[in-house]
Amino acid sequence: MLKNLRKAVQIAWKDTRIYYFSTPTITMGLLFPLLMFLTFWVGRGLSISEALPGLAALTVFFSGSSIAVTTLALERTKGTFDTQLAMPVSLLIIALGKIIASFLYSFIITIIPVLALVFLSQPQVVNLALFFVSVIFSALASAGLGMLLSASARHVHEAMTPLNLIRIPMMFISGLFAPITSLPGVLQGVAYIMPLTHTVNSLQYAILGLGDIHTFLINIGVLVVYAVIFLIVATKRLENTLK
Amino acid sequence: MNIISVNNLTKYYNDLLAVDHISFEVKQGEFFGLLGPNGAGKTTTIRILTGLLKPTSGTVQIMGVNVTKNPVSVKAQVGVISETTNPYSEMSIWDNLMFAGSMHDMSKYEREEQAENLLKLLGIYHRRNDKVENLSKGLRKRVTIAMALIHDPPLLVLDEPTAGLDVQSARMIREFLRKLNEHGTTIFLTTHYIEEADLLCDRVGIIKSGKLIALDSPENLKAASSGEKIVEISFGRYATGIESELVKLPTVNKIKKVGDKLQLYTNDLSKVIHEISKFIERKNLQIVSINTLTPTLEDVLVKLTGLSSLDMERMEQIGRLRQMRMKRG
Repeated sequence: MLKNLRKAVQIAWKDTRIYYFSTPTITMGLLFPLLMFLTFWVGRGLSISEALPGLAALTVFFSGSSIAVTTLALERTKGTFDTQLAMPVSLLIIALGKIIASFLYSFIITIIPVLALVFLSQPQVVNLALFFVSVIFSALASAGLGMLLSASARHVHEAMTPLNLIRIPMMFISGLFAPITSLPGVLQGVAYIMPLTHTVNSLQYAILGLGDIHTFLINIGVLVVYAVIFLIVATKRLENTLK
Repeated sequence: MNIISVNNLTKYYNDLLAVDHISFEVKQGEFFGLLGPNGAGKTTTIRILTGLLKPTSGTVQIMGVNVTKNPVSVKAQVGVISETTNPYSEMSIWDNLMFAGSMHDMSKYEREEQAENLLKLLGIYHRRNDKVENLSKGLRKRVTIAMALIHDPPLLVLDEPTAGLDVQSARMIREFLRKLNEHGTTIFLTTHYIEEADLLCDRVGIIKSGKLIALDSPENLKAASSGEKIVEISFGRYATGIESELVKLPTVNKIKKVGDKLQLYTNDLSKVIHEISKFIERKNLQIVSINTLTPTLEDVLVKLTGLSSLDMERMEQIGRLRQMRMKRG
């Protein structure tokens, strides 16, 4: 067990060194969420506190899923994924290693700007510890989603296209820019299926104090379930590519 | 002792039958080659053997362990080198080896010691800090070999190890593989270069349309197919139309032009030489050289697979094109 975890960490470390500064990671994981955030923030008269959950949610979700897609699909394109497959590591550990790399990237990319804003502008943050908890599990779920969609992709665009088809509409119904209660009935139901909704809700509680601790814990629980499901299904999809 | 046991191995890609119920064994310490034209099923077989692909039916056992059921334990005993197992180009040679070693649970000391030995043997220790992306194709292949051998596996599986390499690199790698085999490593390889298999392998299997159609030592295969003999003649001056006249000789089965020489295939060596002498006298030709040839492994492959010499040329061309593509890539 410990040996396998050590291997997962080694895979994550290798991915960290190779892919953190790759073009798809920077474009889709960093610039895109930042631009989306600015598009909706500028001119709406929101305070930094009110804007923080949106910035953090967009960053954590886009960065985590983007790097997961990049690491796997780029390795297939470059012919190095077989190098990994030929080594004595299970597919679950390979997927876990890649998720760890994506999670760390997403976590760091998210907390740096948010902490900078907190220290520079000193906005209201109800609970910094809960903010970290929310970012951690959101990063895991988003990395898992990226891994799931890239499990059988041979090129980055093959995974990035369905990923964007999921995460861009998800952005509009997750309560990021408008309260979920303002959505039509059916969309409200759909919103609660989306992992990003639980990221937004948990961040809004941690930063703005909206909601209560029970709802926060449910949000985190849902993100954990998503992370586990994504990891398992991604591993199954990886197995199917060997058939 | 068998290090590889393949039993009734079959692989379908949807409706396409890529490997058709093949069975064979490879003994410990053996140098085994799998030959066949493009699309014959060589790479599919090797991918199943190394756990990179699951068979539709049949079993593969490596050192008594079922590859499909226990791929991780099998991979710990095998080194794999193929066109799709490349080193990470963004990392240095040394870091690639350290990563490969870490995947085999080797301690830092073991990894460093083994990496140093391998890189020195392969002549790239002085380049160990270079990024792989800055290396030539030949040097990259050496890195792949070092990565595959970092854990000192008893079995090395290679898919086209010298494809696309310059003559010097290919020769160096062949020599390295030969020495490795002499020191006890079992080697299983596929290759387009029939001469390579002839030079290196103790036994070869010939695969065609997914079926294993021959399995023996190169010399036994040549002997078995030597019903047909070859007489190779070089004339002082080349006369147009000489081939079409020679092929009409009663004991000549077929004729092939190889450079400035003509190869006459026959079942009766004595009679054909007699007929050639008469022909030369009649045409007043001068012979520069005349030799009798034993069939090469290429001849055996052509005969068994039904490939024409044109097909063989195409195979070589495809190899060269692949080489050019890889150079560009």
